[in-house]
Amino acid sequence: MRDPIFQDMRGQMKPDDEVLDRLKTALEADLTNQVAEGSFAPAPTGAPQTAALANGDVNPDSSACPDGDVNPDSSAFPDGDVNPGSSASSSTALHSPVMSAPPPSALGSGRDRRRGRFSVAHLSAAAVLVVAVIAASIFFSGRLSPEPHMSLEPTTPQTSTLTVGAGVARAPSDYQELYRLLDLHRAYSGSKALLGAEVASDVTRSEISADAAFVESPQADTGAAGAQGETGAQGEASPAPMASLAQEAGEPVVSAGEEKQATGSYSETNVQVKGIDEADIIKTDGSFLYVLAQDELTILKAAGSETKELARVRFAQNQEDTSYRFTPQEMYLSGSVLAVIGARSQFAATYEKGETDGARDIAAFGYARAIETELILYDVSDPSAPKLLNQFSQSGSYATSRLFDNTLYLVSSYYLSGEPVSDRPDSYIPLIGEGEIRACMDIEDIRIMPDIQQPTYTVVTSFDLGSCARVDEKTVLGSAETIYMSSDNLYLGSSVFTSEVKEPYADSVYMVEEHVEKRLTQLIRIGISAGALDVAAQCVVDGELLNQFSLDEYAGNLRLVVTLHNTSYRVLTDASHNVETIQYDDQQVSTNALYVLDQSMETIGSVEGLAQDERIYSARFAGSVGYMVTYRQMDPLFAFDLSDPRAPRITSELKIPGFSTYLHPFGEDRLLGLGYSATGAVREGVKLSMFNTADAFNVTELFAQSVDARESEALSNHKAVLVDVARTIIGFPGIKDFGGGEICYFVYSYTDTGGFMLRGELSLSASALSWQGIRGLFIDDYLYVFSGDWLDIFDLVTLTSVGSVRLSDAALSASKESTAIEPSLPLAVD
Amino acid sequence: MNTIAAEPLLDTTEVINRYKDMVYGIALTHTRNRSDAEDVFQDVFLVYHRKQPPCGDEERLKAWLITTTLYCAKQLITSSWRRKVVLLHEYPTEASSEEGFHFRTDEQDSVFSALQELPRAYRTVLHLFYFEDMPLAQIALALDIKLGTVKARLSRGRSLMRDRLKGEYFYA
Repeated sequence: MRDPIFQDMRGQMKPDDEVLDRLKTALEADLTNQVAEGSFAPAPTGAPQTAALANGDVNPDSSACPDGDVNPDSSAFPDGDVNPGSSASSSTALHSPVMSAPPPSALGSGRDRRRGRFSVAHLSAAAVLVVAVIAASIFFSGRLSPEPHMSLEPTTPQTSTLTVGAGVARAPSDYQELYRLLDLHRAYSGSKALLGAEVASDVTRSEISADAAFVESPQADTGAAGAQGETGAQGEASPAPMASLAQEAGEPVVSAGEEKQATGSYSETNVQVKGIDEADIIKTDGSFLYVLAQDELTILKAAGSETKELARVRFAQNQEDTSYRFTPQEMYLSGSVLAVIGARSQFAATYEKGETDGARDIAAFGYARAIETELILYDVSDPSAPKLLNQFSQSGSYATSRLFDNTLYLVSSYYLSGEPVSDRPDSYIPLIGEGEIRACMDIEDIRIMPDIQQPTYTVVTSFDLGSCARVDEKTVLGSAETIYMSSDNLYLGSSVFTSEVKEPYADSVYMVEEHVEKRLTQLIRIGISAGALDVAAQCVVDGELLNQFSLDEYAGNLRLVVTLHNTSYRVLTDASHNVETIQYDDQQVSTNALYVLDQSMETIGSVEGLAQDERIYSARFAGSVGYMVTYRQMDPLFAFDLSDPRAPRITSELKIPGFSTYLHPFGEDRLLGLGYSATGAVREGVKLSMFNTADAFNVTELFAQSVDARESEALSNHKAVLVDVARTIIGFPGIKDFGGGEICYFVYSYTDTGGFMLRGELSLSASALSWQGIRGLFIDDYLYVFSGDWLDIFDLVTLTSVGSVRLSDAALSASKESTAIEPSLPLAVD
Repeated sequence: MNTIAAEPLLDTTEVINRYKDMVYGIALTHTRNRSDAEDVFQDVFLVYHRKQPPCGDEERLKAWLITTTLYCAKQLITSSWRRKVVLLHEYPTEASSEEGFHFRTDEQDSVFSALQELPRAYRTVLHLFYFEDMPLAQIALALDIKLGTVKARLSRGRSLMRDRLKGEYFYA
């Protein structure tokens, strides 16, 4: 073994005896089964495709129940799928072509990408690389200029920004062009073979032609299986979708329709850009609380200890007699309209049974590709009796959304997991729908990003909440991981990984191969104007974004901070002695940069080479200044002066221990940082910092406070942060460091004279708490803390508990008297 | 290479005994938790049992098992069931201690989780190199990739690991 630690670890990676026993049982069962069939051949190939479909599902299912009876048939990999090599026994290659052909395909990377977002946003790009390596070579390398380097000179923007294509994402001429592209992509990435089992070859089913645009579908035409996993990941857990800049003075942005109820002061969702609302799991208008808990919408009258439930919406789709399911994820409240966004998914069982929906065979088609994001609008002018107004859907899992000027912008990410079928546009074109009607998006609304790392569409739609109608829709073929919206533009950013291997050359006895790997960011600007969407410009910049806070628009210019992870190494091979050496270029460490781009996405200014060997942990822009935190051993907080977009400069660099992962402007001249304390490279607990930004040339840390918590959702999701400057409230959930890892809601106050002061560590009622999904908000004199299935109410001054309401089931139990109103629902959909 | 067919087939039980640790280890590195790894483990040997691939020599058998394990792990991870279900234990909570696989020391745990965070291609090469003690040439053969690629992935994977571990532990 290479190292004792690996030897030790290897020794521990052993299957339990129990697992071996189960395997033996399974093998025996398998044997019996096969003997009964009178053949040792794999499962009959005549079995319908649905059987193969079921396969993929049986395995994971057995993981759900550990003593799972393993269905012997479950491992029936269709012959030639798992191991074609085995039948070609004379061949020397025993590996399955699936595995050996161009690396494991877009399928995997899509999954990895989503998972990556659980941990650290910037890892996401690393995961994409599997495909990137190949995809880059087909789609990208030709276009990559040899100098993909940002230049400082504003006069030579062409060399600085990699402007790929004509500056605007390409418009396809027809559906067929998209088909060919996707089919090629699929074939190349090897996923065609992998998907063989999942995609049906049904050609007899009634077809949707491009002309017959609208198709009625009582069962969600393409179904919507499987959105939960993805959207759950993106919506809540990811550190990427975060935002905030608003709420500085604690004055909520009250839009026109809200006046009637806004009696006192209350807090709103912590957002990135003031005036642009972001969706969350809890919303209030100052009088009522709207909460998404346990896949239901609960409406409560907020009245301190008298808080009680008014209504509960069980989404109609979740009735037992429907075959699909709606999982609410986030929502908005705008005037009297409540907009709930969620994932609509088809019950897998429907497919497995091969049921038919009238003329169509659902199992044959919908299974592999059914993911939809649904927007349901309710009229809550009478909060005790919400009325369904309308519902819209679009392909893909929920990515993010924004609400600006009573117009809701909804972004979903549609990963094409099925095989495109040439004459069925709905098999490769995103669908949008209203009610139960679905239609392929018009060809005019589709753009193709120059570099497609995986077959993913980003679908952007806008809705006018006043008229409850869809205003516009656009889709871009290409993924988008980081999404930022200003009042004028929506920016989609996606990571691009490139790897180049230079032509080998001889150096004395060695053959030298040089490898260069880069991470780039592809940005696309979509102009928004009262809902109208215009795919306007695009570019590629060096480096990688962290999250939505890495982007900011000010005075028509986009500013962004990126971490550059370019690496190069040389592989030296001495064939005569059979020796290989890999030389790392140690000079190539990660650096960070700030770029300023104009509306045509040309770089007009930049600062580069910041914080060698560190990466960005948080960033925040506030008008003409920007802040950025990087970290490796110490936490430099950089302040930038961006008043001249063509000549951005660093004005201050403050080095303190630890690092902040979230920055929040805190009134005049103060910047609040939430992050971790650290000793050297060892990360410790949660820490609060207050910076004095009055002098841009000398940013100082006024106070630092370590919190008795080892982890907090607030550090990766800005929506979990409650900050009110006027009342000096800083609230966030956290896992306590001592005392058995209890999850508490921490409330601090801050004054310039006394620094941070712990006002309370509030225990919450919920028994099985997840450390995510806890939100605090205040209305008038009460603090409401929502934690999964409980709403705890505290006095805002004394922080003593005044009551709690259980949200999980119809029977309300509260420490205070409160009566349940049996919901006069379901709100059935027509 | 027709001699392969002439070689006697190994009994499934014998194959299991010899390679259970290798298959389980790879499955563990390529899935998120113990039960997934167990599923993959089982699938691999079931497939072997059914197909009885005529792997003449040990090396080819090993290669077959490696590729099949990787395939099964991938199949499981990308299966639609997984895509539509949120795993409760993907969050770093205390609750995950039961489902997740844990090593004796925290250091080993963090090495392993850093490994699991690597892109699949790097993970595979690192696993085979460090845990299965396979020579580079054999890894190249098993994965059907060029030797240079193996080296590149090994080296790149190492540096990614180094980057990741530097932040928390002093492991270099």
